[in-house]
Amino acid sequence: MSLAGTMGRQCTPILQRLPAIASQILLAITALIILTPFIWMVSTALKPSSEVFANPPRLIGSSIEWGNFSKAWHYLPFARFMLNGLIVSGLGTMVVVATSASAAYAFSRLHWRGRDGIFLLYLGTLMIPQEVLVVPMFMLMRKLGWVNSYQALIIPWAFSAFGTFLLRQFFLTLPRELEEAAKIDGAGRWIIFSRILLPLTAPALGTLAVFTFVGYWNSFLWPLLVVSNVKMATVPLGLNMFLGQTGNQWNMLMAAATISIVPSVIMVLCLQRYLVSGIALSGLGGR
Amino acid sequence: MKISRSARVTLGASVLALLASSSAGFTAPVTLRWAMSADSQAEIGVWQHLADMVHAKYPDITVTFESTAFSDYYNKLVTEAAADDLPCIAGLQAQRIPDVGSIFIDLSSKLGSGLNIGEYQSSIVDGLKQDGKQLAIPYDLGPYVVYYNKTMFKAAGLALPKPGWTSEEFLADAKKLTADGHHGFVADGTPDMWLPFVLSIGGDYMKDGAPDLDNAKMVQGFTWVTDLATKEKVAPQIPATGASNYPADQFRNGNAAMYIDGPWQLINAKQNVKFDIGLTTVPSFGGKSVTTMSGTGFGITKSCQDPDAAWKAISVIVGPEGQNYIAKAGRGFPAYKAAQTYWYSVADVDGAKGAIDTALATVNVYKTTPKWNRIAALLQQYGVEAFNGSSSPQAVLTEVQNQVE
Amino acid sequence: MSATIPLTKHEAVPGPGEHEAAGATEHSGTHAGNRPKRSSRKGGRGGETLAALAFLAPNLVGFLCFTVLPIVASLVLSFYEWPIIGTPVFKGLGNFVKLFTRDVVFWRIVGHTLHFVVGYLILNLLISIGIAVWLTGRVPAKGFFRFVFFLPVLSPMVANAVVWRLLFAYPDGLIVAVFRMLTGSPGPNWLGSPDWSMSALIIMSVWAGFGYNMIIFVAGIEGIPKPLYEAARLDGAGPWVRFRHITLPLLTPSIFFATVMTLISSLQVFAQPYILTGGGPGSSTTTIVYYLYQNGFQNYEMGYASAIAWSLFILIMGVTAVQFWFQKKWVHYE
Repeated sequence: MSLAGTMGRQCTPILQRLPAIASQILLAITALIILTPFIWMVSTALKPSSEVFANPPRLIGSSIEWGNFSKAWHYLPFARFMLNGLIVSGLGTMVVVATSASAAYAFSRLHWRGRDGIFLLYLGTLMIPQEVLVVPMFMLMRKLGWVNSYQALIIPWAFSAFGTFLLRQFFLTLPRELEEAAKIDGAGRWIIFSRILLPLTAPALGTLAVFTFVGYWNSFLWPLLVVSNVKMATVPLGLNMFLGQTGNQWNMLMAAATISIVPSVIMVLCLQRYLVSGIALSGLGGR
Repeated sequence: MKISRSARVTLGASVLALLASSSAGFTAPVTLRWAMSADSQAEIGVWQHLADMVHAKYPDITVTFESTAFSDYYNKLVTEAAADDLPCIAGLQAQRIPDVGSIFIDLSSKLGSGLNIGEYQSSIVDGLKQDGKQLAIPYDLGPYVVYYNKTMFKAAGLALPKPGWTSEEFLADAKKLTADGHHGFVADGTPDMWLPFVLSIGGDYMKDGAPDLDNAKMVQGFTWVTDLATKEKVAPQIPATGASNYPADQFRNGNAAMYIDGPWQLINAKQNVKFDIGLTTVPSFGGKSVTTMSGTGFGITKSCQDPDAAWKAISVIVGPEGQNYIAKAGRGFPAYKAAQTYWYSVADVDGAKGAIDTALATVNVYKTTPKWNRIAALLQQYGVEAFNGSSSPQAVLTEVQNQVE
Repeated sequence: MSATIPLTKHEAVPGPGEHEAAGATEHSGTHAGNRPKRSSRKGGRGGETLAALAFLAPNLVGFLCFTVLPIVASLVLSFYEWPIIGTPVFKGLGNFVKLFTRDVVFWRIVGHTLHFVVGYLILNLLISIGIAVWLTGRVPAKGFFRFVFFLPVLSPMVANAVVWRLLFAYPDGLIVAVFRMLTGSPGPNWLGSPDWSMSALIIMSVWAGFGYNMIIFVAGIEGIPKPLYEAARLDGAGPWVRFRHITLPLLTPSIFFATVMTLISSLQVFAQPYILTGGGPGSSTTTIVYYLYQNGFQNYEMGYASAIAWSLFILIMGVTAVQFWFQKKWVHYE
């Protein structure tokens, strides 16, 4: 920022700042619109069940039922569901990040026969809808004896073409000179990968971690098929149990959904600095 | 896979047999998997209690209960069948028999021991048969009946509907109940909600075991129901919904005074609404009211390694004690006739007994065709247009018929 | 959906170092002519194969077992009449022939899917680019706003569906109320009319999904060198001119890849119709993958479902290939 620019801005008359203020207000309104469904979610969670579909709809019910949260929590073993979710999403994220990073290194930094062909195969698999894979996958789990286990929830989706693709693109943007220098110093590939490239890739790893975590956390169809013991169930399965044969418990579903977002929110808050500015490192501005 | 599993089981069994033979005379302990839908901790608790009852009576048998949410139960069962990973005992709803009946064994030969099938409501016992094979023993049943909001009826100054009431009375009441954004009735395209009207005017939805959805009586009955929304305006326009029972939600929130559902909803509904609930029969046409019914039982799957032990377990689960327990827990309207009085006293809804008994007297066992599940989903999906007037009832039925042929 | 979007950015903005170093690998699928590799690297290639295998193995083994194997299985299934319970019968191309020539709804459903894809793609890109530009300007509490706009991504779909059903409710929902306030009429019956249900589905999906692309674009814009803007400012360029002539051209690689990935994921849309509308009214919100699910899990015809999946796969391949074909016309690489 040049000195003249800074001076100029300080002296800007109030009139010229109007657009900026208007933009601020508009942004706040947009944010409010985006938040409306969440506001409605929490307000529904606090209503008596007989008022969820009240005509006309009201933001606040005739009474505020804080008890819905504890009722929902105990309606099903939600603490257990959250724990399962954390184990599955946490371990899954670690495996995805680790295997994707090392594969991405091989795809981006090493030269070998068939590399581009195999990489295309990876990309191609992104185009197959997951819904059709679950039945063959379930049979596979059965053969491995993994039904009702953490590994069945984690492993099938842990070798991600997405993650490999993402990190490969990232490695490609890092300057070669770093490696060359390390090589001259006698560093092996593992050292180059783990000590030099990985730290520089932290923002992309963070992004991948958030997306993977959320993906595991909210995954529904697969856990549904592979879990038959309520002790192994994850949060989305629990949420679906509120839509039952004996009537839907919308208010409790909303309360449980509100609680269920918390871990993802914490995850995002922790990794936010990577998410919002970190990726730019890989771009033109990162040098 | 089959080989290795049976090998494993055989190996396990022989090891256990060796161990058991030392303490002579005892059969080897077995562990049986039992799958059933459950939607809450309380419901899981009910099933678990029944599993424990089995173990208490037969200490050699341990039943491990596996639960899935009701909406996903059959998807899961079928996937397990595909992967040869079925539980030994599984819940089976009468309407699902054409689709999944083939994974259950015939229990006819076992009926002599353990329980007396004559003490169970015969309509649902028959409903759980396929080609003369008894695929499951019922634990609950329910004819579809009209739920009504007593508080709204009283506020409108109307007499409470009696079992056997007529379609004219129904329509007149619905008109009076429609005011201030509330409606007299609510239904959607789900066949359970309007097939009773078709049956009552003498129609049928099947012909020679195949779906026959767009015959004249079907169109007439469906039109009668959709007219309530499009012409008489006593029922609301409806949204397309995924996993949801829209009419039940509207009824429970006091937006509509009547809807059609099974008795399994009653106890839960009663706890969650702010008005008094009453039950009555589906209105009669020309003196005739016929409703459909649903019910669920437990059967033994073809992959079960120890059907004899499984039968012992079932005879406890749906046995008299088990049925009394189910009735008192309010889980379902028991198929075991002697237990039904318990359910009525737990439900404690005036008119429930009259409505259900009357309905059971004229009930039409809910026969279904293969892929009924799909037909029901399509009728719900396409039915929206008939209720909202963007398509005719006839066109909707023809469209669905074409898709399932 | 979740993991597809973030991939886009990096290929989009190639760092300068890479042009020399890894040009051969970049866009390996599209650029036929590989650049000659530097000789120094050629020498090490023999040794690198082993090392590459070592680095690749943990992922590749899992990938082959848990991704490629089920995919091959599904291709095999598509040639069978395969009722999940029962004996499979080999049908050759029978499933495909039935799908393309005799299925009374398939082509309608392809149309609905394309309707969704076009609406979703355009709205998603406009909103995510718009908000990204906004959030990379001089705004206080940037982090907070970015977090708020990313929040919908975290919300479980089943909860979204219920909330949006309440918002779209007719004639008493919030959206209808806003319509009435602004225009005097209640507006459409969103979820009850086959003419509007798809719009409702698109609106909910954009709300739930634009956060991914927003992150991509925020990162892309922040990667544009600041001096470019300073120079333009000194030349007297206003915000629009700066956006039009700096941000947009330099963002085209990101936009290109966001488009490719968003198209792939939206052609596979499933959860939204499954939970919000059940595919109705009529078939108006039935998409290809929802139809696949209905055939697989309501009709229990996995062979037919697999044939649908592979048809979709071919469609996605085609659409993606066309996009790569046209990218030279508008994507601005350095």
